[in-house]
Amino acid sequence: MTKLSRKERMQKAEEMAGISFWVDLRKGRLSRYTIQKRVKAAIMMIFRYAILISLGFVVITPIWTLVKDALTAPSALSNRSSIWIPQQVSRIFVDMAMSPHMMDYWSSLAYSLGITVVLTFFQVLSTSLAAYSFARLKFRGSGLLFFCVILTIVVPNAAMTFAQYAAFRNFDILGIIGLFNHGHGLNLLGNPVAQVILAASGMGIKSGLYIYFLRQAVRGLPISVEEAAHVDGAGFLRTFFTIVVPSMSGSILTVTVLSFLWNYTDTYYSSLLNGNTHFLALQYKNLQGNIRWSIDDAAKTNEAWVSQVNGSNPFIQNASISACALLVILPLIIMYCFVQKRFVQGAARSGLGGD
Amino acid sequence: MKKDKKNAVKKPFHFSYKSMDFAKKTALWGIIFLLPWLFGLIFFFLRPLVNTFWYSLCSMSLTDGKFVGVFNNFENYKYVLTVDVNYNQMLAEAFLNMVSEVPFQIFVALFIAILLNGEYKGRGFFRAVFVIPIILATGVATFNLSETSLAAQSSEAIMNMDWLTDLVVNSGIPTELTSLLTTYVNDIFGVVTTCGVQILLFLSGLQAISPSLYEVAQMEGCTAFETFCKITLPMVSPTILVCLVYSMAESFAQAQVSYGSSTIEFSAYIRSMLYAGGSQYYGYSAAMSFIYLICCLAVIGIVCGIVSKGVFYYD
Repeated sequence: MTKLSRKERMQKAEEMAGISFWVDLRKGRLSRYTIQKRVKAAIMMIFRYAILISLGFVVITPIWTLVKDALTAPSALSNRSSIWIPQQVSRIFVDMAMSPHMMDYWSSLAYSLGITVVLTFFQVLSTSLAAYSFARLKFRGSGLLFFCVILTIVVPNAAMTFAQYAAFRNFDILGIIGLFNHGHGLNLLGNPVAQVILAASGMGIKSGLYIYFLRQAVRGLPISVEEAAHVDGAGFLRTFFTIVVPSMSGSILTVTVLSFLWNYTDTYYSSLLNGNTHFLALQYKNLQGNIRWSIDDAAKTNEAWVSQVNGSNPFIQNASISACALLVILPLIIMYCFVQKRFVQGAARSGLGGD
Repeated sequence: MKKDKKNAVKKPFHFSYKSMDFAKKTALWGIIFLLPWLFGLIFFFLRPLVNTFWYSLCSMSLTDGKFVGVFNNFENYKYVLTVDVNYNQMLAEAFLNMVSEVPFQIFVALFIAILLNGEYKGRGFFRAVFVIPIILATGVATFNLSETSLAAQSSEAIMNMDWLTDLVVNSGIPTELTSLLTTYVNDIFGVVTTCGVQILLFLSGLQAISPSLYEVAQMEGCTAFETFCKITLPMVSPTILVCLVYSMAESFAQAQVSYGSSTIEFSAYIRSMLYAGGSQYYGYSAAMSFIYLICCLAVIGIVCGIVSKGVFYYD
């Protein structure tokens, strides 16, 4: 006896029960209304898939182009007959991008990931605390302060570049540090401390957006659970960490992923406050400006490369920078693959409506 | 900070935390939870903001590792608005960019979110795909090499849509309309990559709508269009407001404006003034920032003021 697949079994059962649409249609058992409804649904479905697939194509193309360019052999680059798959696969550009003359990949990656994880942790902590306070622990003036949150979203970083730079160049809190340091503040530039302070104080990259998002998520939770916790004698901290955080874990995951992504790819604060070129996004940005010389420098270190690669060739430049870009975004894509399922569900469940 | 002082004054009257009533405790913990953010707000947001304003009124100089400013009677503003050849034009261009970009962005984001929402096969996959724009928007995966002219590549666009453009242009519809349409269609990649966050926000907004509302509408015999106008649109209107604020802020922050023959990020131009020459440029840069900031706030404030009239709040 042949084993039927689940789908076939379902179909057979449906036919036997006489509820299959096609069977009903053939036997004339359907009302006009039902037929209309089914046809409409089918058209809608086709429309939905057509749009989603074509827009998805638009979105995936640049990533795929990166992969393709990065993996093509130098000799096959100028051949335009193959658009989607490399004519001849080679690892040369990826190897070159990893070499110390271009990105020094593994040590830079470790450095960037380390900083990013710390920044993300502090940013999520500070924004979720603030969001909970804005949503539930209202006090006089918290409305006005929430207006400041909107202000932090709206005011472009660029408007305060110089003043923020100066604030960390001469870091001081109400002159306290100045008392011990001969009237001068601390110079916090040139290392990640300044970035961490910004993240921990809820002024990091797009913190305002996270506060807004998490505040909405908290407002979507049933307040009765928290009230029950208070009645049972839990303190505010305990309520927050054991009840609120787990029940909005989806939104927190969303914010964590976004925060990680934006901290990892940030070049504004990392160049303004840190400036360490080991930071991958910054390194990649610098490479774009002088890719030609970097290619030549990197090629000199290896006999096999120098014969194939020439820095003045635009195709080689394009392929090398593609390889660098691919290596920069690869950790993001890998991380995203792991959290994807929960992330999208969480984002979809975190109630942002009904302000 | 004022609030802190108030509490500090009040505390001695109550003596112990235990004797406070619940409302007071809530307020106290509200402030405690906000402390890190308040610290950041005051020292890294409000103070730089005030400083920027002060710098913009001063002629700056760097003495002994500290920046010292002397009030110079709005000279910086006069310079920026009347002497600098690029600034006014760039500001206008950034503004026009925003006006043409943002409505279409919101429309596309809402449209994609509505398509993504709902029950269909492979929605996990599609929802995952539409997070990629957020990565793309950070600018890491897209690049244009200034030095090279990859003309061969750009002319060989992935799909040649010229015939479609010709069809639309020659269809007899007023050319102003068709040119607007074709610019949008040609720029679809740009639009989709910039609205990743908006799609995410709309998707969560749509998910928060109670399914029972749709059931009722169906029972009462609403058409799909009526359902959209009477349920979906009002229910996501708060999200539309948020997206509008976010999109406008982003559009201003990342505005590409023409500088000579090429384009430059507007904020990069302002930053480049810092390194343009003598220390008087610090003041110019600050004045530019402040005018830019005021324009952003004014535009966003006006638009939000108008839009928030139409926003529906469920509670």
